Amino acid sequence: MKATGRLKRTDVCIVGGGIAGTALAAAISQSPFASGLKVTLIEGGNLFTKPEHRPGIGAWDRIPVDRKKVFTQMKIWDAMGYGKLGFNAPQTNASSCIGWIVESNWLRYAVAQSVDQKSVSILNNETVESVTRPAAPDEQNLEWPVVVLKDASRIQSRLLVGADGANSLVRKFAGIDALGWEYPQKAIVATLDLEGVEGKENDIAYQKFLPGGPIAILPLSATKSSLVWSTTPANAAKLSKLTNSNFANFVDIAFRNSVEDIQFLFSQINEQDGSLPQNINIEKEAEWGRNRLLDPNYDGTGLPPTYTILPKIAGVVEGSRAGFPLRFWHSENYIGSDGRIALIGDAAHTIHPLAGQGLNLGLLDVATLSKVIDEGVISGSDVGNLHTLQNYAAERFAPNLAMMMAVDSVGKLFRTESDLIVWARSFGLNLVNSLPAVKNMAMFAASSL
Amino acid sequence: MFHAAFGIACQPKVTAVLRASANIRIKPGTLSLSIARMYSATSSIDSAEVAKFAAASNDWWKPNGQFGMLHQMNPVRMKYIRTQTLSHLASLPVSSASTLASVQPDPAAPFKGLRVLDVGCGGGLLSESLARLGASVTATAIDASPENVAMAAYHASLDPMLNFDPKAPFSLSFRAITAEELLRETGSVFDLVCSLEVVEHVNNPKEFIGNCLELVKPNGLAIFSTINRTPTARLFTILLAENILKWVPVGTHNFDKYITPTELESFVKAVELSSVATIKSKHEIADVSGLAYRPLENKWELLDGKNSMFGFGFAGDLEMNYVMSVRKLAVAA
Ligand SMILES: Cc1cc2nc3c(=O)[nH]c(=O)nc-3n(C[C@H](O)[C@H](O)[C@H](O)COP(=O)(O)OP(=O)(O)OC[C@H]3O[C@@H](n4cnc5c(N)ncnc54)[C@H](O)[C@@H]3O)c2cc1C
Repeated sequence: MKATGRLKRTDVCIVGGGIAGTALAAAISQSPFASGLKVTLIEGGNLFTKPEHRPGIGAWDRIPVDRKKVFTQMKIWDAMGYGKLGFNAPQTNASSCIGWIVESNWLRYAVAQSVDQKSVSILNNETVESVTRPAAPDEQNLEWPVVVLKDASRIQSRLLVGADGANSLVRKFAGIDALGWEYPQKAIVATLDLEGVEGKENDIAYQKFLPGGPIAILPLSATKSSLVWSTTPANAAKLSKLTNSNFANFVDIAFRNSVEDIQFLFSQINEQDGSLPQNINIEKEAEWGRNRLLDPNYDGTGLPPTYTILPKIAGVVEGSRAGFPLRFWHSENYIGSDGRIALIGDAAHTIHPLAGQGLNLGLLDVATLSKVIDEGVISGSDVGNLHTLQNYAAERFAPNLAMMMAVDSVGKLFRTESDLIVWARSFGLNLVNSLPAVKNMAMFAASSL
Repeated sequence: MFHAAFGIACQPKVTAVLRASANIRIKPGTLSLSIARMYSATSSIDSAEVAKFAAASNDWWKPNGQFGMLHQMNPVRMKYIRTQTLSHLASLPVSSASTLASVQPDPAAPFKGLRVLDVGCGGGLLSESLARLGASVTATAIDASPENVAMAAYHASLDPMLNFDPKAPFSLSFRAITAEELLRETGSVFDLVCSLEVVEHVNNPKEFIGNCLELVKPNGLAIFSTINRTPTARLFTILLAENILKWVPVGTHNFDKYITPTELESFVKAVELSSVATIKSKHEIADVSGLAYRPLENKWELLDGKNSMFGFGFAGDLEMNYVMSVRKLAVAA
C-alpha cells in the first residue's frame, strides 16, 4: 500500500463527472439550502472538453440550436410483422413535443458550466484509485468513507456519491451487489447525414425492430440524426469495419428492406477487413429499397408506418462511429447499508438503450437525491446519515426498476422470431396505436421523465 | 405514534470523575485528543473510559438501534422548530428582532446569530441539528450527568464540520449543568430554548418548565415536546412500543409522568406569576401540534393540532406525542 497523503474533508464527494455526477454538483451548488455544503467532484477524464463554445445563460441555452433538436413524432415498427406504432406530439395535451435529442457531450459540457464553483471544488483529470474505510490516525473514529487519488492524497466525506458509471468503484466498495446480465448484443452509434427528410424539418424519430435488436435514428439537426443500432456482437463487429459510405448505405437498407435482405448482406461482409464482394453494389441495393417503398403493390411487411417517407442516409460524420456492449443490471440497493453512500445514474442501473431512457433515469436520480439533500439540510441533519438517504432509495428504487423491466421485456419481445410472438407483438403495437388514451399514457412514461 | 426517550434509558455506565459544573467543550480533531483535552483539567481518564463513551455513543446513534424511533422523528421536529422560530422572529418588530443579523435569514444557515439552548440533549441529536442551522448552541443533560454529556460531546466531536470554538459565529458546547444552575450563571440570554422529549422524565416538571422559560430572553421562544397522558398513549408508547414490539427499552416511559397539554400550558402560565421571574414578560402559546408515527411509511408526521378525533373516538392530533411553542413577549414596564 502506498504511503498516505494529504487528507481533505468535504460534505459531499461525487466520484464521476458524467452527466449524472455533474448535474448533481450543479444542483447542490445552486440550491439555496444546500449551497452551504462543501462539494468535491472528481472526474477521471476532462470535464471541460469544449465541443465549441457559444455564449448563453442557462445550461440549456448553452447548447447550440444545431446540437439540440425537438422531435414531434416517433415512428416505431417491426421488421417481421405488421406492428406499427406512431407517436404524435399534438395528441398529448401536456406539451407540444415528444422530447428533445441532445448529444451527450454537449449536455455534459452545458451542465458543467452550471456548476457554481464557489461551493464545488472540481478535481478534473483525477482518477479515484480506491475507496476505503477510515483507517489512518487522522481518519480515526469516523465512519465517513475515504477516497484515495493517484497521488495518494485522500478525501473523506460525510456522503460519498457513486456517479462513476457502469463499472462503479464506489458500488464495489459499498458491497452493493448488482443483479443483471449482458445482452447478447452490442450497440453501434454514429451521427448520420440525411437527405430528403420527411416533412418540413427533421423532427421525427424512427425505430425499427430487427431480429438482432432495434435500430433507431433520432433527429439532431435539420440534416443530421443520431443512430443507435443494437445487434449481435458478430454483426456489430462487421458494421464497425465497413467503410463510411458502405455503412451509410447499409443503415439505409436496414430501415427499408426485408429481414432476409439484411441478413444476406451481413453474410457477405468480410469479417477481417469489412469489404464486400465485387458483385454486390450496396449503393444500388439501397436505391432499390428506397424506390420499393414507393411501390403501391408492396405487401408492407416490415415497412414503416403509412405515409412515412424515410430520409435517405447519405453519409456518416467522420469519427462518429463507435460500439458499446449492452447490459441490463440493477443494484440491489442505491445506498450503503449504514448510509454514507449513494449511487446515481449508470452506477446504480444500466438499461438497454432502445427506449433512450438511460440518462433520463439518471437525471431523475439526481433530482431526487438533491431534493433529499435539501430536506436534510433544512432539518439540520447529517446528509450522509442513513435516515436521510433512505428517502432517496425509497423514492427511486421501485420506479427505476419498473421502467427497466418494461424496457427489457419490450426488447425481449422484439428479439424473438417465433411466429406467435411476432403476431402478438404486431397486434400489441397496433392495439396501442389505435387507443389514444393508452398511447398518451405510454408517451407520458417515455417523455415526462 | 411511538416514542423513544432521552435521558433515562440512555445513560452509559461510565464512571468519570468530573465536577458537575465543569464546562465541557470538545475541539475537533481525533477522539483521543479531544476527550483527553476535555478531561485534562478535572480528572485522569484512561483510554478504557474513552472507549466506553465511544461504545455508548455508537449505541445511541445507531440508525436502527434503541433510539431509531427518535432518529426518525428528528427531521420532523427540527422542521417544526425551524418554521416556528423563523415565523416568530419575522413577527417581531424590527427593533426587537434580537441578535438575528438580517430580516431575511440565509436558507442555508437560518439560525445564524441565535443563541440556542438544548436542555436534556441525550446523545446530542437535536443539538447537532440546531448547530447545523447556524446557531450557537449550548447543550446540557437534564440531570447534569457528566457521562451523558460526554457521550453526546464524543459524537459531535466526530463531525469535523461542527464548530466547538465558542468565539466562532456558530458553535456547539456541551455542559454538565442543570437548567437551574445555568440560569444563575447566565440569566435570560437565549433566543431559543428547546427541551424535547424531556419533561416527562423530570421530577418537578412545573419548576423545570419555569427554569427553561426563565432562560429565554424577552422576545425569545421556547419549544417543548412530551407525551400526553391518555389511554391511547399508554397503549402505544408503553404496552406496544416497550413490551410487545420492543422498539424502545422496557422502563423507558413512566405513564404517571406524562403531561397533558392543559397541564403544560398551566406550567407555562405559572411562570408569569412566580417569584423567580426577574424580567416582566408575557408567555403566549404560539402553537400546539401533534407528532404521529406512520408505521407503514416508517415516517413521523406533524399534525396541526386541529383534529381532535381520528375517527374511532380517540387518537386526536394531540393524543400522544405533541410539541408546544411558547413566545416570551417583553412587557413594557
Ligand atoms: C449506445 C448507447 C446509447 C444510449 N442512448 C441513450 C439515449 O438515447 N437516451 C438516454 O437517456 N440514454 C442513453 N444511453 C445511456 C446514457 O448514455 C447513460 O445512461 C448516461 O450517460 C449515464 O451517465 P452517468 O453520468 O451515470 O455515467 P457515465 O456517463 O458513465 O459517467 C461516469 C463518469 O465517471 C468517470 N469515472 C469513472 N470511474 C472513475 C474514477 N475511478 N475516478 C474518476 N472518475 C471516474 C468517467 O470518466 C465518466 O465521466 C445510451 C447508452 C449507450 C451505451
